[in-house]
Amino acid sequence: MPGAPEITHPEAARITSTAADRVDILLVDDKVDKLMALEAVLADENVNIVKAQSGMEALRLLLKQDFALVLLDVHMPVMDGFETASMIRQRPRSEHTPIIFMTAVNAGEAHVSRGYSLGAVDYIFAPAVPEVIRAKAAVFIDLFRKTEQVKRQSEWLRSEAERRAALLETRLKRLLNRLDVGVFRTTLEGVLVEANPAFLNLLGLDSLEAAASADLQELHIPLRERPLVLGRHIEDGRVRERDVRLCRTDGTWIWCALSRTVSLGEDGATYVDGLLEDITERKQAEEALRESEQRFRLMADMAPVMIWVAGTEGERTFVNRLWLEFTGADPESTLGLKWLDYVHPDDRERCRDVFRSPIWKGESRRLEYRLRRHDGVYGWVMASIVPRFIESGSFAGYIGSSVDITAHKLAQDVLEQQARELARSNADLQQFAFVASHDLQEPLRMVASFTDLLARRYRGKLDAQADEYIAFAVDGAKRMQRLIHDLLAYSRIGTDRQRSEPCDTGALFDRAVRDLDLAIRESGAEVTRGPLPTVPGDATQLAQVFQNLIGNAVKFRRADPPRVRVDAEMKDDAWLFSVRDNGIGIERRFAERVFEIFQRLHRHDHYTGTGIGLAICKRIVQQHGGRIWVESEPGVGSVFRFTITAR
Amino acid sequence: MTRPQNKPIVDVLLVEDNLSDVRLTGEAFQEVNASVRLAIAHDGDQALSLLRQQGPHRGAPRPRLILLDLNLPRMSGHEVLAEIKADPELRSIPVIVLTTSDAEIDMRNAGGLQASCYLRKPLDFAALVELVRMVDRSWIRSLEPPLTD
Repeated sequence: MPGAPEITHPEAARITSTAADRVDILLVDDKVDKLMALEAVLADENVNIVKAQSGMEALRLLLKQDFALVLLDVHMPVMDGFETASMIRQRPRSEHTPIIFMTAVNAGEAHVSRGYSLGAVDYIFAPAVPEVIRAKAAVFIDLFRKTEQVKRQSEWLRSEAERRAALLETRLKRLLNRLDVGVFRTTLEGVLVEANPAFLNLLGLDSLEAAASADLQELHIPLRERPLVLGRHIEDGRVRERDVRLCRTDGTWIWCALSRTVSLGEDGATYVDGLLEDITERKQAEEALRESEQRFRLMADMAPVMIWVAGTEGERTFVNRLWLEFTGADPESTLGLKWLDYVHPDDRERCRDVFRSPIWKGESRRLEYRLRRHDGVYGWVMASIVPRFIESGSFAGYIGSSVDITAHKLAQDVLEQQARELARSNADLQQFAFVASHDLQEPLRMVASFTDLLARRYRGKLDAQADEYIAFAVDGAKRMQRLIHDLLAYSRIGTDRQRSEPCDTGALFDRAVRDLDLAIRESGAEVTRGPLPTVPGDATQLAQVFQNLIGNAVKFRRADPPRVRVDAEMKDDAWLFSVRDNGIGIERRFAERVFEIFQRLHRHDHYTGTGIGLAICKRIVQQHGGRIWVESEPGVGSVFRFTITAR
Repeated sequence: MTRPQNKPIVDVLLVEDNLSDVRLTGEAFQEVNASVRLAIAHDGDQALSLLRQQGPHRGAPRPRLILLDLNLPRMSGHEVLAEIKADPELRSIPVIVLTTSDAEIDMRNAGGLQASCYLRKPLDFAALVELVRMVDRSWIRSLEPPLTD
């Protein structure tokens, strides 16, 4: 059997071994002796001889079993050989059973041809030589054996194929059953033919039969859709994919990825094979992302500041409404361009520097720069810029928000300008006061010295009136000297560089009391103090404050001997000093005015002074970050208070 | 105002451009020590040629003490002081700096250039007399008589 598959299965041995089984030969003759003779000729251990004495008996046997060969006597009563052969041929089972006719006489050509037309395969004329009979029978016995073997082999192959197919199908079924992707097959009309549990589960179906009865309108629409043209798609095996929204039997909706292809079924019909995968979660995530993006966009557009997002190279990827309004940029074409485009050319380098700096790690940067407005004029904005990082931690660009500070900036410029002018005019004024008082001192020194010399040399030598005039001139010159001296001291506060060192105010008090020794002794004053702190400041200036305040307390006294008390206490990060006296006091309406320069409340001949002392005190205290004021009751006394910051 | 005959004259140079100050200083010395003879220089050049006994000052006595105003026209008092202290012949003459300026820089420069003393010009005559009395006591009466007369 050329081309037949080699059989290696253990089963094959059993199949081949049956080749040696006995085969049946049917001998049909009405004469027993002839049957016996033939049996003797054909007797063989591998051959089983079955004898029939009539055509009817032969037909009966042929119904029950297959024979390798039928040796048929032509001349028989009732039903002759030809009739019998004709009957044999009419039956499907024996249709192809070889028949050899046997005839005793030479019946002629017509006889033989009739036999052949009835399906005989050979003729044996009696008396026949036994070897010829044996040889002819052997051919058919052998043929039968081979045919049987082939039959058995093909039988085995068929069953093997069936077995394998069954195994494959089981395996496939198991896989399909366990798959969480829906697998289905429909006709081209969309009628479900097959579906795995996952498919049924996805749609909430109990069985394939339920699918037929359920109202799956929403399912059938995508399933039935037929842009899949028959033939072409079978050839290219193209797979169609799309996302569909399906309604489950319980009324809930799910998103599915549907992929289909047209394929030829085992039965030769054309089907649509498809996969259905639940992608609801992914869709929901996408939806959520889209929604959050929309929300961001809405919020960004409603925000009262400009908001922009830039990529790693500074290219704009998003700008909000306000940014577009400010710059007048076209919303379509502006994305993708560099954010620096709208920045004033003079400010670009500064902006770039901020981004280049290596310490830029996560924290936001504040930046002020000029941004081109829709009208071409540059406006000032203050931007807060923060770098963006994606989940993996790699740098993704920047997000910035900017506020229009043009008006603020202009106001600030004006303010700064005014402050500069004020500072300059202040400095000019102080310089003027200093120069004026210094230069006034020189000629005054001459006036004072010569009137003094005049008084020395000529007192009592001229008349009494001249002595009085000279005395007035001397007094005037002295007063003016004090005035200029105080003015000079006043103008120096703030122009001289101020020192800041620890100052022991107790020591400063002691120094002031020493310097005022004469006035204190003359007035019989009692000047005392509580514990006084060490404060940061300029010792020379602070000494002046103590001297002026204590000096005033002693000077503006009533008839009783003055009592002066200096104390200090800590109050809100500052030392609060008080200088208390029992003097004449100050009317409330003058409480503020006494600190103004040249402000005097009394006549020269009652209380001497230039009216600068308290102005100096006020200025020094202010230079030390404090303030000074007076609480007083006329006729009872005054308390001068001032603060000095402790830090 | 008395000038004892036996008391030797002491030459003092006053470098001062302000005529009223010259007059006041002269008056003060009159009251304190009449044997002081003041030579006056109105600027630095005059002072130096006088000290070096040059030109019209040839043969004039060399002063034993110099009173120097810092505020001078042309050469400043500091420059004059520097010249004096750079001259080996004049270096030993004590220089007293007189000024109206409180500024510390003047004091420091004067100290650095070896002025013998820094004095602020008093505001009235009585104080000037006191100051001249102190100078007379500290610098003039203690002087040895000149080697040659």
